[in-house]
Amino acid sequence: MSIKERRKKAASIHTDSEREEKRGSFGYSDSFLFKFMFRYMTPYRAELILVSFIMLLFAMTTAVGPIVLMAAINRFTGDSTAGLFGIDFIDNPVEDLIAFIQTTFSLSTVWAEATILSIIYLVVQFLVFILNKKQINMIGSVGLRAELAMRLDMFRQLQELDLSYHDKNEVGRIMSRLTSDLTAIREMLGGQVILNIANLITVVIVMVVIYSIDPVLSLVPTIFIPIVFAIGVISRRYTRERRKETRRTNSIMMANIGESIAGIKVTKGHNREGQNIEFFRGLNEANRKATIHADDMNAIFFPILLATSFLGIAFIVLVGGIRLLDGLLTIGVLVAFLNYNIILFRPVILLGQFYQQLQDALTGAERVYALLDTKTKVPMNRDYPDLPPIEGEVLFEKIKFEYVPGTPVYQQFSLMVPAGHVVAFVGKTGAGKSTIINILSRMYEFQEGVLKIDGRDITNYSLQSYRRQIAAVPQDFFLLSASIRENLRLGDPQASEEDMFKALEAVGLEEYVRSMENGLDTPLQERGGRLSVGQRQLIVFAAVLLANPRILILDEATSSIDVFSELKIQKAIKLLLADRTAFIIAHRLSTIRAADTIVVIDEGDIVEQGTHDELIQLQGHYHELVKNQIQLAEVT
Amino acid sequence: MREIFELLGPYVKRHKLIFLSLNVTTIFAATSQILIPVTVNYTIDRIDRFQNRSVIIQGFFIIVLLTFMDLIFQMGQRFSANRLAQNVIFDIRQDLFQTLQHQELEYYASESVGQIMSRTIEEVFSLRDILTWGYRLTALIFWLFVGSFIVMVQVSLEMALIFLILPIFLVVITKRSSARNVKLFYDARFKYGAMNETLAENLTGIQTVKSFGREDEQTAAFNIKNQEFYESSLKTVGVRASLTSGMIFLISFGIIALVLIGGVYVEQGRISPGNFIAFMLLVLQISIPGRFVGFLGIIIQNTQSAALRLSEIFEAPVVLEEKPDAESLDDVKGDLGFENVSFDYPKKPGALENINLIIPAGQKVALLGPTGSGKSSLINLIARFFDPTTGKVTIDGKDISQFTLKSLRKHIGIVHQESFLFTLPIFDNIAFGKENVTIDEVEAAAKAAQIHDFIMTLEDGYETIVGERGVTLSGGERQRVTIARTLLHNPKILIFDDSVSAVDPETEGRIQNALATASETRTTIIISQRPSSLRYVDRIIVLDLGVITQDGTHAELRNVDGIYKNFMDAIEGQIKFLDWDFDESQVKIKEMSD
Repeated sequence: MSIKERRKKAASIHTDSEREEKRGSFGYSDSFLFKFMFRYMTPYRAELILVSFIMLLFAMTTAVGPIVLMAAINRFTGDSTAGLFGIDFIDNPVEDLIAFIQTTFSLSTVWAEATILSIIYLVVQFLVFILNKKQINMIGSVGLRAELAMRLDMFRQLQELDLSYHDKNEVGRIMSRLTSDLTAIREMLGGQVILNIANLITVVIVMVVIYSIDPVLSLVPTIFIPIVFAIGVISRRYTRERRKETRRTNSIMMANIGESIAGIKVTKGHNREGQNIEFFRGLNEANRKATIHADDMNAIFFPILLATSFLGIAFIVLVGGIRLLDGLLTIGVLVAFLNYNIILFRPVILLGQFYQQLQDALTGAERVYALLDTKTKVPMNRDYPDLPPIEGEVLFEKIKFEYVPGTPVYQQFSLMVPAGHVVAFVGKTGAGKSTIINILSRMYEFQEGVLKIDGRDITNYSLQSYRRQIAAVPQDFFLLSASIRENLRLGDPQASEEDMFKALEAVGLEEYVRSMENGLDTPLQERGGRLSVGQRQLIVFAAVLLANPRILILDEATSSIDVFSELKIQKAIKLLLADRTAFIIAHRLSTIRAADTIVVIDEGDIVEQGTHDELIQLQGHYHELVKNQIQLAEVT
Repeated sequence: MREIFELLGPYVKRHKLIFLSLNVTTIFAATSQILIPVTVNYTIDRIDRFQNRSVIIQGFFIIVLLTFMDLIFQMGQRFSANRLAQNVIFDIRQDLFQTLQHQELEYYASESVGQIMSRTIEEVFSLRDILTWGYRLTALIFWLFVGSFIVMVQVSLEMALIFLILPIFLVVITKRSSARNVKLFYDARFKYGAMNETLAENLTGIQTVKSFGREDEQTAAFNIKNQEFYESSLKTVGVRASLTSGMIFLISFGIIALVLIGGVYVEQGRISPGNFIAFMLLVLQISIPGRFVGFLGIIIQNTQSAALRLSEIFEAPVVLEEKPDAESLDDVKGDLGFENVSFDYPKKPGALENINLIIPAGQKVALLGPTGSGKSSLINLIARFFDPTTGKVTIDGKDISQFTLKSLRKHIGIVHQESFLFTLPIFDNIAFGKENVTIDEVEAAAKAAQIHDFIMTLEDGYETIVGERGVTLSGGERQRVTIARTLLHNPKILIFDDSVSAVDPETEGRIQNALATASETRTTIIISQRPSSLRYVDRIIVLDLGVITQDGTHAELRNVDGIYKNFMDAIEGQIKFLDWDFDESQVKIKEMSD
């Protein structure tokens, strides 16, 4: 493969499931999605009514501005000596006012009229300013509040959903629903819809006004508006695909930057800087090309739109000039039309682009709603009774479990564990050891059978009350990048500093934490805290001690920990197991030997069960396992 | 402003022609836009004078012609701006990447990945606004003002001067408000980032959250961030509202002033109605881009903070300098030496203290010690990822700082603890850093690392893409790929930095065999927690708190009080079950009973 082909292939990895990006893949109707979005606006009905009212005023004042100008110009050019605006009930008071000013300040007619018209114009413009500001502010904050509420709902839903959902959906994809999808919705709710309704009203009012001023000349905008609108719609359609390509190349490039920084040590060790830079150049280049390609569409369409407005001017001069010549209109009217041409131009372009924004928002709404609409397989059952404090007796009764429908991991798994017993599970990788833990910790739902704790069917109680009495420690345990304190709080949010240190002392970390400059507040980031794998595990154990669960579920880590932390971990595990029911996927002989029962799992079934000595006697699977491990411990 | 010029100036210079064409097309576009009102003026005045239709038709065609000129220049202007922006961004990004690749590990020790990422991505991205439309718009507004002013001066000096007040107002208001606004926008961006971080962390650790039943606490914590973002964006909504509507109001002030004065002048016969209309149109025309003046201020401030952050990367001192007369390190025997070496990390002094050590060529050494004892630091010094604070490291008796980094590292192969694979085909991951590698060489290395057979089971074989987004390999498979990578380079000095930790026992056995052969002719240093790794070393060195505390063979150290004895005792007490997928069964079970 050539470098180019290879690059192409490497890039192909990033073509995420584009199917999900398409509109309509979830099968909700548009009207339903609108209803869904506007449901978040209903608490702000009063604001919305006010905003709509403001927008109507705004559209009207926008339309009035040029009329005032027209009146002023007609006055100055002496073209019209009749009523100021040609409307009696406005003209009369205005003319009275002009006469009043004229006598009071002994001004000439022209100056008096100029002053009064300026004042009117400025008042109108000031109104526009105030209304517009108020409107943007109001609708903007309503949009933000809707976004806030929607995001919170989504986050709650994500907490509800069981692990089978999270397994299928990568973090990045979920994130985009809470970020860019919500942004698209917010932009529409928080301005676009209202703005475009206002634009529409403005266009209509202005059209009515210009039609009443001069029906013939108003033909010019009547013809140009649909053209501008159409160009606006078309341009969005063409740019969209290209924008997508820009985003795609950008995300590939970003991934490469991240990887290059994370792998810097390997790069340095292998003198690979030069090649990395060359590889990056290719990705950088692809992004440059895609961006120019996309931006060029704007470079073509926007000047065309601008040119259309200038053509409008040309035609107004042509038609208006001829009518002026024929004495059919005044200079003031001509100016008003030139002015209206510019006023009309902007809202029409925006309207043309609105269609696409609407589509974006609907796509976003679809994906947001799809998330909220997903049913969790393990419901939290918040309204169910709390599980009373438990002893810790666990009974699996004929449980059937499958991750993928049709391929069960367990057909009929049954096991009874008395309270306070320690059970160790051993078996090959993939035998189903972790599945038992997933069932018990209620991360996934089993399909058939009953799970009883102290004789109570667990599905009849609120999930949280159950989870608070158990603790599940997976092998690759994820610690928050926050402080040690925050991580310990996972175990018990109310734990005092004293409690925390006691727990740390129990796992042998107290001294270490105290020796650190920030103590409990030391952050656990990769580079700041520099905790070793072993130390991280001990932190988890401390959190478990704080949680003090009746049932402990532990997947021992296999990865090698330095021998000295290892000793601490063994001690800590002993401590953890004391006094509670414990399920362990065990890898340490010491842990296994400490168990009351050893359960050997193979191919979805229990094949051996008993104490260490019993199973060794049996000379079966367990015996074989132990034998092999011992061989590896020999040094010489 | 100065920071922006300092950062962008040199890059723009590289694309002089494009920049020139941007400016030329802008001037022409502005000119044609100015000429349209002038033509309207001319035409209307002539209608008055000649009462002739042909005047109108003439005017119409001139305006249409000017419109097309404007169309062409506007397109040219935007095409140039797009290319200028993307070329400059391309260059900056490339330089940034290059700078980061050439920075030594010491730099990375003090900066987090997240910070570096956000700089290379976000900050460069924020240059886009000023380059694509910020500069173009500023130039266009500037030339429109200049052109309009020239036209107005010829008609009426008073009106031209009044017109001049408008831009002064715009600039003053923008300048005064922008400092505060920038803070608000920056704050909103920051809060958005913080919220997303919390979200990402929650999703990544959802199993942890569920294990402890802490969903409600997490929701509460997230909602604080959500609320903070909401509040800070609310403030920016206010800014936007005032800016958008305020600019329009300001411009309408200009219009009415002109109408007032212009109207009176028309009435007094000092200017023609055509002049008056031209004035109006000029102002209206500027008002279109003029709406954006407020945002321009914000963009300039934004770019300024981005430029500052970027220059920090560009100007970060290179911590490891090659000597100007550095020579290439060729034929290496493999003697390693440490002479009075001490080493301090910036935040952690005393990582190594006064180390004196000679490892003769071909010797195999195991390095043991608790976490933080200085094992990794020692290794980092050999490949010169860091320089010792005092003392020197030698290869074949010569100070390594006198060689070029490239030639030095060619002779040293390190297999790291975390086996990092790039999103590339396996072939490239193994051939990583070496040019003109044949498939035979790669296969040989893969065979030596006991990974060839596995690779052949993959559908695409050596062309299978691995890495974060590629096919997921198990820890052991990843580790073996990195070992193959190192073996391919055929280094004289081989270092294993706890590199068999994630491997299951079966593979470990295989790797050990591979390593035994691989290390036959090489100086080898192994950091390992596995007793099996100690089987074939000649010498064991124990480090504790940055000091060598023990040095000798297994037999010498086994029964002497010290870390090594503790270590061996501990190992014998903790046999581990990792996996049991293998079938050798000729082992005696005598050790099994306690």
